[in-house]
Amino acid sequence: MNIFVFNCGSSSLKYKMISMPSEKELFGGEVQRIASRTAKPSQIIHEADGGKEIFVESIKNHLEAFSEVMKIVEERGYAKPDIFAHRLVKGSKEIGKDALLDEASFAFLEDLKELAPIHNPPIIEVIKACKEKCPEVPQAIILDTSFHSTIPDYAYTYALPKKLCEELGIRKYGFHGISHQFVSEEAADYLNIPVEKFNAVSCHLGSGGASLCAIKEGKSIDNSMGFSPLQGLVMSTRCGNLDPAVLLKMLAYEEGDFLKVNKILNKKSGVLGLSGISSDIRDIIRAKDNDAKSEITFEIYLWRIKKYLGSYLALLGRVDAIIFTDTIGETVPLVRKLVCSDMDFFGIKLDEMKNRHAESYPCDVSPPESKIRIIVVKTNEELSIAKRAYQLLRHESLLAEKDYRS
Amino acid sequence: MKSLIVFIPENFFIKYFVFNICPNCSTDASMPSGKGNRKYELLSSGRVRFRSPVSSKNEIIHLINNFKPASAAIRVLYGGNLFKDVAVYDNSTLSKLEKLIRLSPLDISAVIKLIEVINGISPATEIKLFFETAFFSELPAREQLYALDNNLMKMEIRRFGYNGLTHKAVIEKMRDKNRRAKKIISICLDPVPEVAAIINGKPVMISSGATPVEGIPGDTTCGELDPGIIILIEEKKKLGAETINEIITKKSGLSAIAGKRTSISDIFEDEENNKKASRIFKYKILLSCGSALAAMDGFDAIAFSGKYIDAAPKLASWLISELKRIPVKEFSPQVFYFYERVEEIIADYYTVQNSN
Repeated sequence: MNIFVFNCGSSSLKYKMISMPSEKELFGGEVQRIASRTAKPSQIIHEADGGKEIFVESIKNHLEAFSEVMKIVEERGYAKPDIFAHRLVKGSKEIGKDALLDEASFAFLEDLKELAPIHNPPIIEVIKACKEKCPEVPQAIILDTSFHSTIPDYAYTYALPKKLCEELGIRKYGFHGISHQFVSEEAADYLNIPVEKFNAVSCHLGSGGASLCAIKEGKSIDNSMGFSPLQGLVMSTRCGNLDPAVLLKMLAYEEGDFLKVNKILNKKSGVLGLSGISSDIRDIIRAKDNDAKSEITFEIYLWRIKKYLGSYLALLGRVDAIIFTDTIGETVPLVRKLVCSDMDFFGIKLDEMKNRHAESYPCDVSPPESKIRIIVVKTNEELSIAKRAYQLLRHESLLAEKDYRS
Repeated sequence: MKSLIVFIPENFFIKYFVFNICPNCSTDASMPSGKGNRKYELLSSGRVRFRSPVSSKNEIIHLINNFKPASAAIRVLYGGNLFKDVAVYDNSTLSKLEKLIRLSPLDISAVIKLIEVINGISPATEIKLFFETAFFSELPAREQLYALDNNLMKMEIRRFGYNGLTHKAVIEKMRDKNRRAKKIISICLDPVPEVAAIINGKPVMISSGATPVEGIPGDTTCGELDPGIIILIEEKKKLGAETINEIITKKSGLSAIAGKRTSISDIFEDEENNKKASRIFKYKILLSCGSALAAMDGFDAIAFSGKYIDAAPKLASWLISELKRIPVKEFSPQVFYFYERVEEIIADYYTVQNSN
């Protein structure tokens, strides 16, 4: 069975055709820097049969990205998928867990947009585009929040009036769950520790969004993102943590225009808001030696990661590994080096040479004397999504068979 | 004998404390930390309600006429980037205060009104302003700044701490007691609690934000919130900034979790009946301490202070046991408790400054 996975990030669209149950990747790629203000233009990196093609395009939104990907797929004559599977950043009461989309659930899709205003709208658009393009192919959605369902109540509760929280569904949900789960299982396997005994802090540092996750005995117990993917670390265009009273000042200043404030916090803040030159932290690293604003932007970016790392190390007590993953976590050794520096109290040590030359994943970039292993893992959310979509299909077909027999 | 009147403006009233300043009012070494060796003694205290501008003014006039203080000290919550130390009131101070009204309207307006009343009745009384934010004015930029484009908002948004007078006093007292303690986690258990990481007397991390609302949940303040939640509340309920402010500052925090008016002190007195509030509070303190440990790469001591200092031993015992789970080399952090209240801290500063 071929599962065509789409994984919309805030400024990217990753795609992969995966054959299940063999987990063989038939082709895949990523549309990078969609509509983002960075030093480099948008591009599509397409990979198949060990080869790589790069197309530089001007891509304004995720729908255009989807069209370009489908053009590539059609031009190369790949077989049609048996199912499309999508990462859904945040669900609702109606769509609250991994599910196959039927006509009824399609009706609820529009309502999901506002729950994660950066991510869900492009995902919904891509789902609709898939339906239009291949109406006969079923679609599955895999929730990014499922892994965080084990976060305890004292960690997911905000100290707001109970009635208000219940009415508006206010609580911490956590995000990047598909990735945190995948890399923690990979790291546990790599270190030969049973996942149910594995304690780690997973640092998912993407080029768009980023979050840290405290993992105890294989389960998420806290995540730096909260009710929405806005809370937590400094991200490419998202502010991360912010004093709620500042937000009220912003609302008053904008005369109650919450859409405008929302846009500022989601699209004009973070690395872009601080630096004024780029939303990509790699551009900032290149510019920091000659630009004071870039220098301080990079410092703030790292500092927020360090503070969350300290919080989760204190929370977990015994920690087997710190995991770095996704675009920045995997490919920018300087970020790993600086996040792990001056953390002797926790017994963290990084091997500079191993860190600089980390190319084959997973790999351990800590020296033997480090009390905590520092593991770089290549995240593969698409494989994780394909596995869960496959399980979903098997479950559904088993149920259908059971119904038929009874 | 000179007297000093200390004013602490709060939400609905102004607290006052009248002290006699004397070289050796108390030298009782058996007193808890901070209570011995005082150069002042409390003559009177009370509070003036903001019933109406006229009645409050009359009560303050009565106070000044009655005690005839040589000096007045006012605790000011917010001094922005303009006040980095204690300020003696004069025309330039007034002009700086006026510039801050936009950023902290309620607090600064109340202080200016109070100064006008004192000046009106007793122009000779020296007025000193003690700013809670001054201690944090030089917080490193990486801790100070939010990931915002400040040009967009045309306002100066940065993070401060809000119990600066207490943290500073704690550090100075600790320096007298133990010079080896360089890295200190200072936990102020006030109605709006706060954790600060301080290296060699300088703060490097703080749990509060641009206002005291951010950080650890307080008696009625919400603490850390996802910014998306405020947007959601405004979108769905259309309450407006003022009403939402009322919710997050007066109807949230430990009281909202417990479902009844609750303080930090209450939850530690009866943890069994305040399980959730207690667990959430302790959890947030632990996370903040973890950040402090990362910010300082370890610690030498933890100091507790604030209005609810009586709750500190229970919290300290839990916190140390949690931190000892970190498998680093054996460490035995020193724990200090400071019982001085903010008015006493101000009186202390005042006497030290005047004796120099």
